[in-house]
Amino acid sequence: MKFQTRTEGSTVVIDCPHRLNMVAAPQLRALLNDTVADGSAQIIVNLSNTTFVDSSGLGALVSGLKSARQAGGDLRLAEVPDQVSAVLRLTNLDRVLRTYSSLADASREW
Amino acid sequence: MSLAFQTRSQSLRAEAIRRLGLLDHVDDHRFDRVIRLAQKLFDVPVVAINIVDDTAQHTIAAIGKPTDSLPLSDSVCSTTVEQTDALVLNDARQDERFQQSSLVTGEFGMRFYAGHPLVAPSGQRVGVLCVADSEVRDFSRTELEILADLAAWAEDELIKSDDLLESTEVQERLLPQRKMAVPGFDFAGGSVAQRHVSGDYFDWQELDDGIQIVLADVMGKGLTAAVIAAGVRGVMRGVSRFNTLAESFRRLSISLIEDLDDSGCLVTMFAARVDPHSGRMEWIDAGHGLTVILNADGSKKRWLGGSDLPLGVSADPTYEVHTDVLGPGETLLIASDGLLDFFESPRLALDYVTTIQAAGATPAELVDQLLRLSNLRPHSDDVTVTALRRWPN
Repeated sequence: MKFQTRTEGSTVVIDCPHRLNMVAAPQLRALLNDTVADGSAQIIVNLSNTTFVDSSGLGALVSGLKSARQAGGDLRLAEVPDQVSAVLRLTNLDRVLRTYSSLADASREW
Repeated sequence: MSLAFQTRSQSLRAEAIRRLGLLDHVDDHRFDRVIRLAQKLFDVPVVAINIVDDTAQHTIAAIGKPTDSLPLSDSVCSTTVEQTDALVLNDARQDERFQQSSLVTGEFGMRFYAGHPLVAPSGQRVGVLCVADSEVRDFSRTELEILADLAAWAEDELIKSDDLLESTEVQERLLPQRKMAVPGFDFAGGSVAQRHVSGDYFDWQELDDGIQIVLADVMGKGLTAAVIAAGVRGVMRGVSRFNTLAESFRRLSISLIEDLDDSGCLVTMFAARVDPHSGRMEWIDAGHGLTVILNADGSKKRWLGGSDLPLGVSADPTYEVHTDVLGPGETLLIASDGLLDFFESPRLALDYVTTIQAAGATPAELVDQLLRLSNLRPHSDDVTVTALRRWPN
């Protein structure tokens, strides 16, 4: 279970593991905080390999979103699985966490 | 030891075993490492952790175990468990207390036995870690010390379950202890935690302007979520007494933002204030999304879904107050999203709820039947449900 980080221009893309649960969420939260602290506030979290996100995973995403926005950037979600979209809709978090169907779409127009 | 004393110590032991739930699992994998290591260190064919209650010896973890359970009359561990230190039999056949035991006379043909009692956090000796062989053998002082260390390790596992039990009990005290007694209404609520403690809670309060029902879900699991939930409940109860519903939400949210930021938690919450005379109600939905009003026979229903964000997202939130009327015979049902684990969509979950309602369930039955779903899927999320029904005219 590993996160992969790569920089594409001014954007940092973070590839997430298969499951974003209470084991992985603290790592993601720390990684997002570090990324923003290092001066990159345009972050795409790529969920193409992820099939399951639990509430602690969502908490980590929102925490990263807040840090990114405070630093003048944003956090976008790419290739969001259906299970996650459903939870985002139910909790109204789709209002703040923007989702994109592909990595290419998420990378445009910051 | 007098018979009376022995009986008392047995019943205390049985109580300690019940409290720790030691006999509730078929295979207790917590002890796997302890017994594997014991087997390697002592090079014996049989290693077991046996729990001894007032009826029998029960094996809850073992390698090469000769039995699942034994009557006390055949058990060697039932003697060990009464001692404060280890019992070693170099050759059980030579010991008149045990030479008739089926362990010795039966297929296993036990000769060597060494067992160390296991003490529960309550101080009761509840079981034994034992090693056994069908060959006669010596057991050195060093080996005795190793056995005692391994027994202490097994006891640590017992302490862990006791800590969890205590946090579960603390959390249960956060749920309403009193039954709601407001004329014209029936209320029921319940919660099932999947990891001993839960981030869900529900509450009700009688306020000057109505009955307030709250159901909240701290997103996150385990103890952190449970501690945050306790804080949310305390602040919400305090502010609600002196403020409108909308103002209560705002104050709660502002008070919590730092705690939630630090812990990376979000809280979804639904709350309603119902005027007991007219059924008129105000409600706010902060990202909760699973609330419905059902009519008496379940044939009509309406969703109460707002578009506000969970607590902990925004530092300066506003909340939209919605109004409705809980008509005679209608039920306000609030569930946490753990309920969705059992259904493919919120709509199917709702269909199930209306089926139960149509069968004429009381609020308590409605809550029970929904919570019972969690027995079907042991590793799902926490589930909490409340139902408030206004009596028919």
